[in-house]
Amino acid sequence: MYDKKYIRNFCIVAHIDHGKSTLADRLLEATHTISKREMMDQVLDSMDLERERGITIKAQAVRMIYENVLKEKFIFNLIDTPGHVDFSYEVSRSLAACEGALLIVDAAQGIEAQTIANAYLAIDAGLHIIPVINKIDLPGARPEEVKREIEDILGLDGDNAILISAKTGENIDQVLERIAEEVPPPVGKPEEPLKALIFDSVYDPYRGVIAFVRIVEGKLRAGEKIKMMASGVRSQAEEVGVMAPVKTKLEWLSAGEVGYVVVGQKDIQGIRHGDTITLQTKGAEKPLPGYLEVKPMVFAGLYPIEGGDYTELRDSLEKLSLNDPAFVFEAESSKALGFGFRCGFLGMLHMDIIKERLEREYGQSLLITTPSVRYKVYKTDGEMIEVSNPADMPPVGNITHIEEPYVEASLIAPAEYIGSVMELCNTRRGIFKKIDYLQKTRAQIVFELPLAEILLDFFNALKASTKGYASFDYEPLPYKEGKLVKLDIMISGEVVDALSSIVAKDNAYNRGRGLVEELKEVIPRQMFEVAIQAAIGSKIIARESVKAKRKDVIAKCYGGDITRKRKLLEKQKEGKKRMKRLGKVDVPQEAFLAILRIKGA
Amino acid sequence: MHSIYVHIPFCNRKCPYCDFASYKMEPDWQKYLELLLEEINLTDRRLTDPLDTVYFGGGTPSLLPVEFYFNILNKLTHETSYADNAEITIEANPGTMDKKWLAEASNAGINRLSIGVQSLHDTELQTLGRNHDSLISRQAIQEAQENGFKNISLDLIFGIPGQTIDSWRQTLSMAVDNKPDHISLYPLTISKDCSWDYEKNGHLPDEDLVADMYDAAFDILEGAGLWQYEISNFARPGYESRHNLNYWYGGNYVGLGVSAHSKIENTRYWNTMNLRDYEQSLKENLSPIKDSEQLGAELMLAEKLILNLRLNRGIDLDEFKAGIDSYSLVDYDTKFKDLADMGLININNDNISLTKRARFIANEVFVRLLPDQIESGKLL
Repeated sequence: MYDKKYIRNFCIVAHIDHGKSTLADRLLEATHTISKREMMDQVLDSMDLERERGITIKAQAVRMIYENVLKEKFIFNLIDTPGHVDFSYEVSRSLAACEGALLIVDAAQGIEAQTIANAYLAIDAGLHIIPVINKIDLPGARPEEVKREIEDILGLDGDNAILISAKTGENIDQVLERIAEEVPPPVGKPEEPLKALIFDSVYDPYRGVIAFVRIVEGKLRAGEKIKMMASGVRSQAEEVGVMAPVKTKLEWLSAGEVGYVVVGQKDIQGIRHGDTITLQTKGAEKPLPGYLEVKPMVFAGLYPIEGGDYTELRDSLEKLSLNDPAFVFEAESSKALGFGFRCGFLGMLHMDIIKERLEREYGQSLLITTPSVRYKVYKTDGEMIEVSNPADMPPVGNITHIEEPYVEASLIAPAEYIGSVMELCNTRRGIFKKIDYLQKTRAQIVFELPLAEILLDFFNALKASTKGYASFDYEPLPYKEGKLVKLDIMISGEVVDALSSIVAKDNAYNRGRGLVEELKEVIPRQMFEVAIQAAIGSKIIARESVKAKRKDVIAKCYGGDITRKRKLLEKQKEGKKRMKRLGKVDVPQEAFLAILRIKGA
Repeated sequence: MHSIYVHIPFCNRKCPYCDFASYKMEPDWQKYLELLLEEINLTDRRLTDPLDTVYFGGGTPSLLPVEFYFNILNKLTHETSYADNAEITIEANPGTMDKKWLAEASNAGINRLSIGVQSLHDTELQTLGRNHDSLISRQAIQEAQENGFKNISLDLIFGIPGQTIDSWRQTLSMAVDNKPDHISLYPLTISKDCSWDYEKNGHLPDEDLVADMYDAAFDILEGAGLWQYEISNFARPGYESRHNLNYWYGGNYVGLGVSAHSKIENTRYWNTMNLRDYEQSLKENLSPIKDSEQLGAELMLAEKLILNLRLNRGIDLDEFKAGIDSYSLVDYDTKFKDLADMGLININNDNISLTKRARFIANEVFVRLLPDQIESGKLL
């Protein structure tokens, strides 16, 4: 039995690398949840990938027991949240499971774009926020200034921010005390009909889907029949419990608690983050607020590289989607690339992560086409179709107009780089909205940008033009009309569908010219001259050609040469077999991959 | 008929583009002679038919005294029989032969000289790292002609950094003015085994210029009575290199000395490239053969086609077709037709040959003629 007045549900939010995971480690250690010897650094990051990238992707919940100086025992539920802009919906659902948030700010870097984004999310969620200034052990630390930033920029209590070093463990005990003192205990009555918020899930090959829940109202016993209110899926709570830190079975979970439910389902698609679990009999009438259907924003074609197994790839994709309801895919085919899949992702980071996980799971290299967004194409016959694969674009004569997704981007940069940031956004069809000075030396610049412009290298270009100092965050906006055209690439007169893209009309010439020039460098000389053309509809806007081959001979072939030279020919023959055919042109594997990576202007 | 190749691995300096087995050293020719004689005693690679050609290649064979060659030729007389008019070739570098040497060599029975001229432009010779100039080359040719040699071949290189089509034409013109009987021309090729440094020695000219140079040679050489008979070789009628023709006909040959290669029917053998290992093996009465490969029937056939197609005369298909089963026949007929459609070979009355256009891109033909599943076994 417990008294829920001793429960504290909280999370940690921060900009990347400000020390969220290290702080989580220290809290686990300090509460003896995990002994120092058992501690694997950043234990909540259960996948290697996340550890490599220093980012958390899967949210998990851990129960710790904290005893204060008065020997009062508290149940601390630490709900880990993804911090990246691609996953803000996931963040918001995890926040909805909490009453408090530790907001970490790096003592040297100060407030950055996602500090702000996450802080606003936490404020919007009504959480009690405890500012924590981390890395005070570093020589560049300027805690007093950062306190000011917290007051001025976020309107939070900076003066009382806890100064810590998660690395050395300094003042971690203060953090624990403040959580116990300040984070409000959960409200919610166990007698009310059950409302459990799903804020995360995981697929276990033996048990099926496991949902991580916050019981908002009511009680959930193991064995009860449950239903998911938004997805409509009906099932049974096979097991309930808490992560302390490993799965610990319980008889029931009650209002105010955080734990897990083995929902007896094999299909994770039915278990949606933000959904409400209730009982089938005497269940709640209305679900919890805030549920959104997660929509993918970025799309790319995924193909096995020559010789790769299509069915194996499909199996790997299915396995991956078991653990990631936000990842969607469907079969597609391309003349140039063969059979593959069109995949949808929350954003570029999500796409990179899926690709790496997939390559690990599938064990082979993958071909990923240039990512694109989903366009709304309005046709002359009144129909509106959504197009995420440029090859599916209807002929230009049938289109009245095209709309593309926009985002509102907030870029934070030191004052001396304001010009660079403005220039970058202007070259990406940005619409300037406003500029605020966060301090005398730092500005937040807000632009509306087409999402398509952010897909190609925006982050890297931003970092490059601001010597790494700028950061950015974005939020989706409604679709806007764009002057867009389909740019085709033809090789020896045939359109190569894998190279088609949808571009802004104003950029079409530059991009076409850029592509054609890069292709000329990469396509090897053939037995005949090869014309490379960029076209919009039937209009050729750029052209290059690759001359016919004139030298490919073994000049010396005498007694001592024959074996060696024949082996060279054999190797050449093997190479020919592995060539990819693009229309009438044979292209070696590496060149083919290079072609697909060509980013253009 | 069969042929013997003897390798002389000694040079005065190592040219930066060379990937042969050659050592810059003071040649202990007596020791090497002993080793070669021992190898001749030891070898079971015997061919019973008469010896048609002997070829002394290197390295720089002309660095060794004629006594060396005399002894070898003499030994071979005891081991086998010579055909009438056997062709005995020695390779030579300009500046390493004097009149005395030439006369002695000629008297010893060496009747063909292959001189490594490479270029007749001094700047190009420097780029190539050669230790002679063009004057010395021309004098060497003249002296050879005056001292008993009636069958002289020159080696020339094109596609040298800094070379132009005009300077190449000049080299060719000057070369034919000296009335050689045979010319071999090769595009400069840098393999990873040589010491060429692109920063120091230069970058090779582009593919189109090199191809233009190849094309430009024909007028000048034909004008001087030298006719192409193989991709890289031109000769006065009757002065084709019989030793090399044996390779291209797919004939048998025995190789002696460091790095030398042999072929007996469907097996190829090759000696170690290392002088010390060569010496060591023979000291212990062991064969200096380093490795070998056994060719399956399909690969033999493909090799025969590929080697013969290097010759302008191509290959007659009746004898070729007699040796294979009907399944492979269909496969080859399809390949020949495809190649003809691509303008790469001519098919005339059961003879096939490369078209003029195909010669400098011959790999496109040869690659298609290799069997689709390649297998060749190793013997050792």
